[in-house]
Amino acid sequence: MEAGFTDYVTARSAWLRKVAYLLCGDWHRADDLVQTAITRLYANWPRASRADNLDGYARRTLVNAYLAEQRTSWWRRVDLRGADHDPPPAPGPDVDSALDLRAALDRLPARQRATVVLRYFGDLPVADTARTLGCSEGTVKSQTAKAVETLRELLGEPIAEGRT
Amino acid sequence: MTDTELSTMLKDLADAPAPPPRIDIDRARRAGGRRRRVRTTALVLGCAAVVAAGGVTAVSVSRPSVPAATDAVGTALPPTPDPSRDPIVAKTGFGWLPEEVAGIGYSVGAHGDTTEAVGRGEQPPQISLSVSDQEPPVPGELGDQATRIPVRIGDRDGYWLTSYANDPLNHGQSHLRWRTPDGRWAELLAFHLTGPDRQQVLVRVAEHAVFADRPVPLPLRIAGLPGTFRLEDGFLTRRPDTDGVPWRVMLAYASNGTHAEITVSVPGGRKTDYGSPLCTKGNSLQACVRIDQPAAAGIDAQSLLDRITLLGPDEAKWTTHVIG
Repeated sequence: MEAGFTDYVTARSAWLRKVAYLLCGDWHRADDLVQTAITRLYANWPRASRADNLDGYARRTLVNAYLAEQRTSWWRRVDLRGADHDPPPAPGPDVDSALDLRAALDRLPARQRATVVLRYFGDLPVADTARTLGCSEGTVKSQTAKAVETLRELLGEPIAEGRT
Repeated sequence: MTDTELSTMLKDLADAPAPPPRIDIDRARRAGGRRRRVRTTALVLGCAAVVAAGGVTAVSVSRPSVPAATDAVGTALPPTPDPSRDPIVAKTGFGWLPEEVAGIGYSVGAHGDTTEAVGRGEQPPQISLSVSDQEPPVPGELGDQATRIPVRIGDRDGYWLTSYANDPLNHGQSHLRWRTPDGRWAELLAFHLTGPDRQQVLVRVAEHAVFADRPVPLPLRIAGLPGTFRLEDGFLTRRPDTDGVPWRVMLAYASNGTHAEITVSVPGGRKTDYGSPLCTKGNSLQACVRIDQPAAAGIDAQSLLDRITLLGPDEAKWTTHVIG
């Protein structure tokens, strides 16, 4: 059983790290999130290892760790400072698009950001996204629509809202 | 830009060059193993033993106004905290605060316990106080060039931690650390202070800081929690200009791999962004409960809501006997 955990994390940590990075926008924080997620995964491994979709279980654990972090005092403190520290660069043709996107993602509320990552990076359908976030499918649709609209405004380009 | 292009952009961003990973599987196994053992213990002993590790209180929250320059809080004998009854127990308190502070809040949980003095406005002045057994690491936001500038806090050694060697206040995001009388490390973090003599003000706040566990009175009673419930985070905040309500209480519990969240405030204010909670009103307050997976939690939102009694907005009637 223990070997199964090690094998799984060894094989999937790079993927979890990418998901975490898109959620938080910082590689060091992403490592911390993955560390938290795999710790919880190990604590629940007897049950997790029997899950039909272990990737889905791990992804849900990671997203929960990210959302829980947003509720902590440290992040509330950052939120208070957010308006005048590290503002996203203004969109423009001379700004690297990846940095542009990262800055735009930083402007999204946590659950909207998670929705975008799950749907557009993870390619999850609405139902799976709802299960991961513990909300209704309608909420996923509305959160996706709001997030996409915000990204469209921040990036200065229209995004077809085909996944809402 | 199509949604397919957005997907591509996200994948490109995730594939960007990254520093070497710091993920430690062995550490996860050790910590995860401890969690398993703690959970097993909690199942046997009930949730009290687990919540006891959560930590506690400080100065009275029945007085939202700023305490005058006094050390009365420090000399008063604190009531013995019972974390099985009160989920928010403050470990620190303020004995003196500047006038720009309008209220005091508390946070406990996995990311540390803090007492927060907060002012008014969209970006209110804020002074957070915490204490830890070990000297805290240098926050990443200060970078590799952080400088320690020595300072005396009463008869104790301390230091300012700053990215600017000629500015102990670190351009307004100030870190002040010192040894407590019992050898632990205290830390003040301050943001957006606007008054004069800010350096002297923070030193004075530090000199009057209080280190004693005290339960924080809360505006609700809960007639029992399932034995598997373990507090992850709890806070009482006072940020009327950002929350739209004078205060808000949140208790987040983990249970069998799922999460339950209880919030209490006066009705109205900014809607929180976490799912669709079930809410009820009573005694001029509103309580909301959200449970991710009721089957795993062993209780549904309505049943948990039914166990909650709201005590009203008069803080003199709040209780430290929250649970049970």
